[in-house]
Amino acid sequence: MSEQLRESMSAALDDEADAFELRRVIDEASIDDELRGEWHRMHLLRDFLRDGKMIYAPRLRDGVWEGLLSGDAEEEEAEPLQPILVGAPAQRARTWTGRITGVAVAALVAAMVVVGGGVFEDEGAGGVLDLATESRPQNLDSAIPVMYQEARDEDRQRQYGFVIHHIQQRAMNQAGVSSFAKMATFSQPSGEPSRQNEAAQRRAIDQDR
Amino acid sequence: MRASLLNRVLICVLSCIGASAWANEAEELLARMNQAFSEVSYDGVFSYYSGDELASLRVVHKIVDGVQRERLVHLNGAPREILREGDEVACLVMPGDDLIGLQDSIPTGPFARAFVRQFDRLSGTYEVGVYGSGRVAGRAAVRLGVTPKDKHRYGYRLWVDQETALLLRSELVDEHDNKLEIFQFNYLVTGEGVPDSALDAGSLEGFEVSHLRLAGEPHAVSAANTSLEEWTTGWLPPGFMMATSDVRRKPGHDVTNLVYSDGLAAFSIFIEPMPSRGAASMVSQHGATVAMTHQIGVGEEYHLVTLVGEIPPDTASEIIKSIRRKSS
Repeated sequence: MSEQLRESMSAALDDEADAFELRRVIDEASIDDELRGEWHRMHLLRDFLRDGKMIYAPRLRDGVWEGLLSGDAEEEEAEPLQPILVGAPAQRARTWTGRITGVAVAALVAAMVVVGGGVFEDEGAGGVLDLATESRPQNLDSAIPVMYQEARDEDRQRQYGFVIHHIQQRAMNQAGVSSFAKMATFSQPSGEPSRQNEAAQRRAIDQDR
Repeated sequence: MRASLLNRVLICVLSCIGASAWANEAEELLARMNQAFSEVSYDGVFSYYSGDELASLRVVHKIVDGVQRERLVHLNGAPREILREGDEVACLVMPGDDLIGLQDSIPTGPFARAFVRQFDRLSGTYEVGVYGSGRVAGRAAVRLGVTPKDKHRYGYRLWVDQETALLLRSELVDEHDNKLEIFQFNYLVTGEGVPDSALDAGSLEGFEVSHLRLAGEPHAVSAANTSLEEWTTGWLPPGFMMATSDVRRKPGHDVTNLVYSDGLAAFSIFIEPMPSRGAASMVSQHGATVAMTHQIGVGEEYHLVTLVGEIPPDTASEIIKSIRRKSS
């Protein structure tokens, strides 16, 4: 493996690779077992260095946005995904790498909240999780459930649903105006896709580093 | 020598009395603030910052003929209003707005809830004190600090209105003093200055109106369901106790929901069977709210556990790792 490729991989790992570098890493990794192994080791090492199997996704809302971008094939491929067995260390959820599409965000949130109505059936849920679009390779043959290295859309939606439920409970049972404000504003889509938003997220990611 | 020891004891006793008076004043103010939410008439505009979101809302609260009435108006983005009169709640939204879905879970009590649910439990885990004065929304305020005694919960800085004891500003801060959530009135009128007409909805043109009645307590656990008994936390931060527990239906399976609180902070745990298609471990954060999903294996069975709460991520991680099935 060339030094240049290693650098590209390292940059990709830190979300600093440009489109060309990313493409090159993906192309090479798709035909080179050794490279894929190296990629995996770099992930483990990075997570180890960050002291924790738990590495934080930058923002929950970003996670939802990310889910919406899963149609972008290049981005999907940019994160080689290998199912690993339960018990293996958790990997960092993919950081924000895509574009924000406000309309799409609104659409997803609307689908989750309006169509779903809630997280659970007694809240008029009815298949919130089924709204998840399948975009990741599945391992249906596995004898035991697998834990994925990267969060899929359905994982994010499942968690998002629980967050909404928790905030509602919190508003019901505790807190003051501020808690209710969180509930009332939490699912509010951010109107226009703004560059400011993107810049803010970039900063947030940079701060995480 | 003897005198010196006596002096020390005396100083110690005096400082204890001083500290106690200091804490009492703060706790009294907290108690007054708690009542003010539902007893004072107010009409104000506040900003709410959480994570990377900043929202502006107008809130009006007044007791008219013995009935609590409230109105909450979104000032940014899609127009929304929520009106409450006693137990009746009406949500006014533009067609297609996502808030409509929340109507099934509108708070069962006043919007303006108490800040602290259980005062008696606070002193074990938080220090409450007065930290001088300040000014918010043009009004004189007393500054309160609610400081956690350990790293397992967040702290609050509060600005309480001198005149009415209403909460004017609150900051939710982590151990490094980073502000995770900020709530602040920008403009506030209280008492007789709030006309009844402030409670009237804005223009109804184009709005969809949904009515609902505030229900009682959340769904009770069915007696036949024993899955609640099965799960427990091996470790909890000091002061946290189970507040509620129930079992919810999701399409195809049950979800056990346990809620814990230390009287101020709270977190929820959701336990469900591992989806046959697998799941990812993931952590996300929105303001002070952390959400963590992890799987636990019991024999050959796997379950997915999600913890959501306003607690530090490290604490959430410790708790989630300690969750286990009780041995029967």
